[in-house]
Amino acid sequence: MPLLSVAKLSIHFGGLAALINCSFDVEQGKIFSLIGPNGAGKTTVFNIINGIYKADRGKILFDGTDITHLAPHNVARLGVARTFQNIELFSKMTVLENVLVGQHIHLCSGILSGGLLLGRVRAEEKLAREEANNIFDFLGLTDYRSHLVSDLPHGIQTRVEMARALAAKPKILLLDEPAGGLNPQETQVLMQLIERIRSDLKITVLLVEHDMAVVMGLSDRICVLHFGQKIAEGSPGEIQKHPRVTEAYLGETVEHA
Amino acid sequence: MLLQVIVSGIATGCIYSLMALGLTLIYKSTGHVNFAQGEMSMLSGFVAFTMFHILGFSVTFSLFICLLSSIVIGLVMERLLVRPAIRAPHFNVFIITLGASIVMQSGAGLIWTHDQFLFPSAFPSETFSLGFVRVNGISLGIIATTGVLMLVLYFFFKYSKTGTAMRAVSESQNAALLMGISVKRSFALTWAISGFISGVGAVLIAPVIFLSTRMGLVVINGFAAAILGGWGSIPGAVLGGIMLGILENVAPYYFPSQIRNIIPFAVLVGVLIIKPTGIMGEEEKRRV
Repeated sequence: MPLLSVAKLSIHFGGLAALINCSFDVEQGKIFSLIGPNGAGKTTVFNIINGIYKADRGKILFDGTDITHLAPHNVARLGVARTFQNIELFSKMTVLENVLVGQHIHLCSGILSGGLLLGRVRAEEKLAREEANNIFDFLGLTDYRSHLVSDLPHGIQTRVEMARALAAKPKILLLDEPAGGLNPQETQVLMQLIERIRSDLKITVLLVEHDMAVVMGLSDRICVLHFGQKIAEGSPGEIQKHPRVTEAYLGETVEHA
Repeated sequence: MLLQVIVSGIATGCIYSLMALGLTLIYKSTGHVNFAQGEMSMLSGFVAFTMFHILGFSVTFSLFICLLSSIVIGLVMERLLVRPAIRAPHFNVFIITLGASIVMQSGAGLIWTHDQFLFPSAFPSETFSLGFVRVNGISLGIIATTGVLMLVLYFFFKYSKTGTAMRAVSESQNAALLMGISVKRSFALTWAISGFISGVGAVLIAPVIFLSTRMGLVVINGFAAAILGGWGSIPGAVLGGIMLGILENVAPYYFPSQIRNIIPFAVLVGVLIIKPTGIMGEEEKRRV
């Protein structure tokens, strides 16, 4: 059974059909990419999975649960984490605080005990901070842990957002254009990180990305959207040769890739 | 003598700070302006009054129930009036709370009349000597209670998991949702905390200015304090309140006493001319 199964998803915004009958399955432990020109509906798919938008038709199964009609915070609790196209960090907080918010669903201390800092909460907080440190090690963020997010450069913020998403210990990580605005070296580091998230942390990755080198280099499977419709799905090799894809989108990029 | 006036000014200021704090918390986490903050205080004051004066419970128990009821009032306000309008513009919610404040004031008048009532203080009224200053026990109690409450709130928001989550919601509701934080629950909690602050306000203020349906008007000073300190800034709300309180008490010491209500607001206008965002307020930065 696939970890995430999207079936016949459709959504309209006013008169605009943003997604039409879109279906794909993401297998456990794979890196699955959604590509397509601007406005193809990639981020819309993310927003429906997260429960921010409600689909007009269609169904989403995650890990055996129907999440089509769940509220965003409940989807998150099932193990779906995400980063955003335009980084959406809590910029007035430190890097560490952002990650602690990411751990929110795993900390269970209540309001009263939380306010009084009782023993059990202390132990929990200590564990939370240790786990945060592991994530910082993993992503190379240890030096920035007490920095205010708003003081950090874009490349670092991208990694902080990944750290916050990983803090939730998700089963699947949705990355929305993680390479956007990164220079070639940063993109290299990012690719290694995504690969290690899959191999070391055993987290399935659903990726939306415009940088074809990243998509072709990382993906196990690729699904191509065009004006809200799926026009192809397959391995990177198959997608590069697919006539409708080259026509719709990849064009010259394929030759350079 | 001046020192003593300042101390009682700080005590008055603490009450404004509490009002300003209740307003600021709700504004920061939900974007709403709650005009009924003072009436929430007034209502919980009358709950205590009913408990000890009409039903004959002990004062301590009544004050405890007063604090409890203030939390309930905050939650009820949120659930009944604010949540249904969650997608409405903030200005609509402001008018809703303004309407609620009028209904609460008139409703309380129907039940308890518009008279003024004595309200027992939780603190002794004799004076203590602290070094050079002789301080009234009630003032001291007000300052100490406010101080403790502020510290608890500071640690709650800074270090607790729930407090951190609430700060996250106030920065980005969408991102917070995707971290598994329930924004509705966070809003409700904010109103509960604001309600509790208004309840503490009732316990502290009613003994000083008497309990009456007009007691809620102190929210005007709360607004002034919050704006003087910098609208939306929590330390600003505290600082603004205390500054207003000191000014209000020190002004009559040098000038005719009718000036009491003029000086603080003259200073408010003066500060806003020099620094329109208030003392600790930040200029709103927009991404271009």
